[in-house]
Amino acid sequence: MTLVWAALSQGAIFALLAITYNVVYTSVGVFNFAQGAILTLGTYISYWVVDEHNLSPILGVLAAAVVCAAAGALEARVVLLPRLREHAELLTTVGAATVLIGIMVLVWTENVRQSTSPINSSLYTVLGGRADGDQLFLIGLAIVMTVGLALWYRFTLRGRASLAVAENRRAAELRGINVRAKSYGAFILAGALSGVAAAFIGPETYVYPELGNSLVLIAFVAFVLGGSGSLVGGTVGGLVLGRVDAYAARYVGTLYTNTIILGLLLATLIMLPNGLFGSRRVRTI
Amino acid sequence: MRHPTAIAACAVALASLGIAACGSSSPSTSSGGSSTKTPFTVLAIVASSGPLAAVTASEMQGMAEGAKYVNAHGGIDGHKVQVIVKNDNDDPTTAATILQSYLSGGSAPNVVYAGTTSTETYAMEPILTQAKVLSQQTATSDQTMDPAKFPYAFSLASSSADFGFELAHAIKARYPNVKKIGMLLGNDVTGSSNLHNELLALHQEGYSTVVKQYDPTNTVNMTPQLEALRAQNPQLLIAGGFGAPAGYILKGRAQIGWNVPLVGDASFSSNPLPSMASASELQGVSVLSTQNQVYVPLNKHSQAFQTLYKAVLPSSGTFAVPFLLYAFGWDDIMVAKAAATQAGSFTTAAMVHALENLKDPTAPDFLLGPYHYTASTHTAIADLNAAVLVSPYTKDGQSLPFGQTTG
Repeated sequence: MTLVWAALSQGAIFALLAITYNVVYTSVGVFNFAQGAILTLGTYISYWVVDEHNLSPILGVLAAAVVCAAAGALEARVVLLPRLREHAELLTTVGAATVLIGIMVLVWTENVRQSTSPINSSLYTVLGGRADGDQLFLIGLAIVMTVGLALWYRFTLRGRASLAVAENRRAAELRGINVRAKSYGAFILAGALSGVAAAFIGPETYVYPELGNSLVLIAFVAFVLGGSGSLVGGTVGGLVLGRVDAYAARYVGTLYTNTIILGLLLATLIMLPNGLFGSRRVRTI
Repeated sequence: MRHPTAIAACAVALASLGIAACGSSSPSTSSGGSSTKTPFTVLAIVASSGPLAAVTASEMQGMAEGAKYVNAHGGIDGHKVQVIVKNDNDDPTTAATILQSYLSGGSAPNVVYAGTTSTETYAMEPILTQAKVLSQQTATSDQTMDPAKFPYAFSLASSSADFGFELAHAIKARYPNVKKIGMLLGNDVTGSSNLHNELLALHQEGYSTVVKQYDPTNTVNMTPQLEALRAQNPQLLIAGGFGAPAGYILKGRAQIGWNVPLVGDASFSSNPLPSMASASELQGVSVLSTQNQVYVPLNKHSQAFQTLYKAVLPSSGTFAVPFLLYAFGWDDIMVAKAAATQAGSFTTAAMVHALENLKDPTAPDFLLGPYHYTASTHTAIADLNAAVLVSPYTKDGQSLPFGQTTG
């Protein structure tokens, strides 16, 4: 059961990153490769507030959320939204991630740092397995964020307007929706969620510049497996892949985990192009 | 593959044409008094950015302090030591290009510190050999430290094969009843090379082993690998790795409640473990070291040690990286000085001959070593009896004895 908790908490980390991918994708229709770097920035901000300045962990969570939201807005303003019609998101978001990582290296160096958890991270025995407080909290956080966002998109006017923008920017604009504000809002929301998640992920994974890059591959597969744009799908995908990764490492060997995960991605793209929960779209050709 | 190889060969050939005329500077090139003598140049081409940036920065700081110390004591036969650092971003191709470009510029350094890792060293060695330039670095792989192929290359560290034997020897001395050992190391070049050498030594000592490897680039939890190892009931666990993976191993071991002793190999011991793990996660953990790195009060150390220690001690009072890294940089300068002084010349041939016959391999200015180089061995020869397991905790930059958590 200890392995189950470890796998689920690892999956929750992938799921939290996949959620932020989905928030941007749902509203703007692009995949933001810089989201991993923004999450890493959140771990540093939390570390800076709590461990370097001995301030309250709650303040660390809030500061991480605010700074990551600002980083998301800046990314949208400088590199993404002005070139949205040029379909250059891959280059621009990867570029933004590289710059952000470079800045973090300059400020904090590449040393690995241990950040303090905002919650009690003692080890607990749950259902016969051992898990620490951070791991259990991360699993809960992924579920709460998914459900909360899914309800918000489905039942609020602002949420529905965001979906409308992703569906058809031009049509949404004609219906009076402030498309530009919605797009910025998506980046700010994804950044803020990354910051909150980062404050709890950092104590579990350590804080170092390449953290986001070590998560981004599997989180991307989770995003595709669950169905791009599906919040529930991304979370299920993350949790499934966390287990696949852990069980492959346990029973098959680490050498094959990437092969298995990328095989899963390939199989999904061939057999379920819309992922497990993705919606089918009609296209005019 | 043929095309790039041919281009590289041409580049080396062209570079060597430019280099051949340069030669190495020597005391005879100096003119007049000491203030006008040409500097003794140490060119360091290292990974100042990338995952090993912190390691490199410490080594370079040690080197700069070593140069300052030598210069304050009259330099090398009156020649000031000058250190030039070039960043190769941990990329062997970039390292080779920088070296070629520097040598083609018309001046050959007296010594090159060729790379933070063996991979960079290996890329630069053919060029250094062709140009007959002495190099001293911390590369440990047998491939890079082969005097038959690279007669001007020396390592300040023991070979990785020696590290394997040191590890096996230290475990046998500390845990005489252990017969079966579990091993968890990375599957990158360094991890695989260390695993190969450690397995060789452990099997030679009669141990049975069970092995798991992890991918250091995208592993964030080591519980599955540790569970797999535990299922095979080893009596002791050897762990290897740099940075976050080392912490994941300690966290995972605590999470599954596995209390077999954990021994960190040479790579694992270079992590600042007490700042990465809690006291409970470090219970039963020891790391490989050598007797001369075990804690001794500062005032009982040499003047050289105290000078470097005071110069590099962070304002926080604790080191983020092991002090050993600074010492490697320091010794690079001191060993070069010893070779040049003994040779009475800065020519590569004379300095190599001096290094292979160092009169005092344990000179007071050396912080590590001893440097018993011979014509057939250009790595610092390991003294198996000096290999010990020590506490992961440190005091004044030195390891505390086995089992101690405070000095």
